[in-house]
Amino acid sequence: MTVRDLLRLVLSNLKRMKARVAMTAIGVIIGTAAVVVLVSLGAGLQRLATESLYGMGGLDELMVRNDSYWGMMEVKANGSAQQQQQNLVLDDVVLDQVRQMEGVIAVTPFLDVTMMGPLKLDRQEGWGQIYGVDMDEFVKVAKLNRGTLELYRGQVVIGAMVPENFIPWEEREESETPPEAPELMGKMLQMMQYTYNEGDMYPTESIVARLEVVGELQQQGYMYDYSIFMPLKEAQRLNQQMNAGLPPEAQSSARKGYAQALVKVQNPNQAPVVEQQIKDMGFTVQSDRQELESINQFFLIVQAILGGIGAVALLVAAFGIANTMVMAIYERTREIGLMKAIGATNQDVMSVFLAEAGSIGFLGGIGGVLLAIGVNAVINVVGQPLISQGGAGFMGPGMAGQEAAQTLTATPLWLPVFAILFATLIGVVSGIYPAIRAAALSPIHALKYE
Amino acid sequence: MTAEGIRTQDLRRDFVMGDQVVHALDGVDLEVCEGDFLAVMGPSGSGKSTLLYLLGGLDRPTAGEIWVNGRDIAQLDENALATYRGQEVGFVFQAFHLIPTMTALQNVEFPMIFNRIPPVERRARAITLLERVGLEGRMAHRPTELSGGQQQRVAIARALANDPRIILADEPTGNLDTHTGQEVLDLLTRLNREEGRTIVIVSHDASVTRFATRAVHLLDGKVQGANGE
Ligand SMILES: Nc1ncnc2c1ncn2[C@@H]1O[C@H](COP(=O)(O)OP(=O)(O)OP(=O)(O)O)[C@@H](O)[C@H]1O
Ligand SMILES: [Mg+2]
Repeated sequence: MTVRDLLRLVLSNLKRMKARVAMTAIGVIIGTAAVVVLVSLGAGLQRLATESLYGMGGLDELMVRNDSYWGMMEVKANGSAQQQQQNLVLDDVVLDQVRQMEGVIAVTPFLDVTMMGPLKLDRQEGWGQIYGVDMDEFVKVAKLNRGTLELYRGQVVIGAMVPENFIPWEEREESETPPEAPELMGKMLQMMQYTYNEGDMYPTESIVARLEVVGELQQQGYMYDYSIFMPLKEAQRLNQQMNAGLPPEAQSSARKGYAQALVKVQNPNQAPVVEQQIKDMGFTVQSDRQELESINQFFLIVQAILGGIGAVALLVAAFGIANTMVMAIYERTREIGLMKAIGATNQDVMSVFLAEAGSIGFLGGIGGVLLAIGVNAVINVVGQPLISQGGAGFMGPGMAGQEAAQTLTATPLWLPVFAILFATLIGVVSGIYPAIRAAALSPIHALKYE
Repeated sequence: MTAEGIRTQDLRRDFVMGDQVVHALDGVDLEVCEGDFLAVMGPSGSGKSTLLYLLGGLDRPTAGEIWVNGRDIAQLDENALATYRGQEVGFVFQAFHLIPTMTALQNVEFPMIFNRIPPVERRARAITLLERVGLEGRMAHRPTELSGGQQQRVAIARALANDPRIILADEPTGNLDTHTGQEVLDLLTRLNREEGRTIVIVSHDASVTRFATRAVHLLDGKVQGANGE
């Protein structure tokens, strides 16, 4: 018996018991829908949780920190307690070593620019941490939204969220929805220095530098989003300028190298090895990976439990299929006898019944996936307020733009495919016992059956 | 004996009913030559159907040998026996046993599905066979839309589907009136005379012997006398 003939025969047999097939399939539909909806919900919650973790650029980026960098200053103040690590320096020599590691495609220092006051856009105060970066490397990590990454002297590129820091406080308090952030592209930001002279109520303001915004990055993690970037050379020059007024031990020239540097690897699965190598050198490495791993592990359990609940519903449906098939055998006993009398092998008879049971599972699976799509849509509509309200705190401020795209459920593409296959498998498995019974019938007993 | 044809040796089939054993066939030695038209006669319960089922591979003997076309089908495994049923013999039942949801054409095609005949060839052959049994106008009819005689002719066409050399018919006229019964017997006779197929037919009806080339009489599971042997 060819597969084509088998399918045609199965189809006509299913049509004969339409009502019973439909009722049996309802069990499968409910079970499959339960699996898909519950796992989608688990995956959706996981997505919400992991996206709230949107800390750095992604799993292919590592932030290397030299914990003893700031310590170098403290050492002089506090004595020898922290002196062991004093000679650990994160400088260009070290960064070159990191650059040689397998999989590393970009390395740039993140040099903090010392700021003694806010930034100003005309009269509006705002803020944003300024970093000096190696522009040749930075272009490989930064994702430009608009403008340019080619910076001349006095020019900067800003993170996606920086404009929001220039919204006046009054406006923030007045409106419920976050007000429109001002346009910074092409504008001049004044870097202010506030100095307090003894007896003064207000600080003396002076402009340290004027920075022209020529580029804006895409939203790609808070390390970028709330920061302003300028070429390393210029940052160093600014720091020297700012340091002029500080006591000698607080000056950055007292510290060697950089406090932190960003490392990007070609492929996220190369990150752990690079991370370990850098840790072995004595530096601290911060990455989203560890946290993501524990979140993922937690949600794997959640999904397994939710999927398990749905699977129980499918198991119940399996008994329904088995029952329907046993009934079908009773009804079609003479037909089975005839099939055997005209040359059907035991395997032929078995495959007919297995395929019928599998088809009920398959049809139920498809129905279940369709039902799940509907239920998910309802959940997302009903659940939308939940995430937009709780979301602000959950996902950090200023992610309003993204919230609209968020849903409570997430259905990975493999899930419906898997669900349909699983329902089909359940059908086939529950057809095994009836199929064996049918195949074992003796042809004449079956033919004589009334 | 020849390699072709049917030969049984000391064929036995016992049925155990509780502590009672029924010897439905009690040592049957029978030879049917290629091209024979054999009538199996005998009273009710004498073992005629049991014998025919064994010859058709629908049942297995308790003891004895059944040589068909040169091999003992009692020794065949399940799959080989299924192939034997599908290709070497065609069975015609008293109760027709057509599939009610299938048309006449589909019923005739059905055995060819298990014999993996390609659809186009299958269809063409089924049409030819239905024309042969005089049902060219009834191909799309379902069994309930056919008379008893027409249903039995569909069943005969089905038995011929895989072109077997042997046709086994268990009281094919039992559910038909005399006239349509005659038509069915005529058809079987033509298959024997014109195409040389071996026919074994079970019947209470003595008139069958007019068509048959030979007859055997069964009584209590044994062949009576030496009529035709
Ligand atoms: N499955 C069975 N279980 C028990 N006994 C059986 C079975 N099949 C047949 N028999 C017995 O075997 C004997 C022969 O039966 P069989 O059906 O071969 O008779 P028959 O000659 O075809 O009769 P009829 O002319 O009434 O059809 C009978 O006594 C019957 O009761
Ligand atoms: Mg009988």
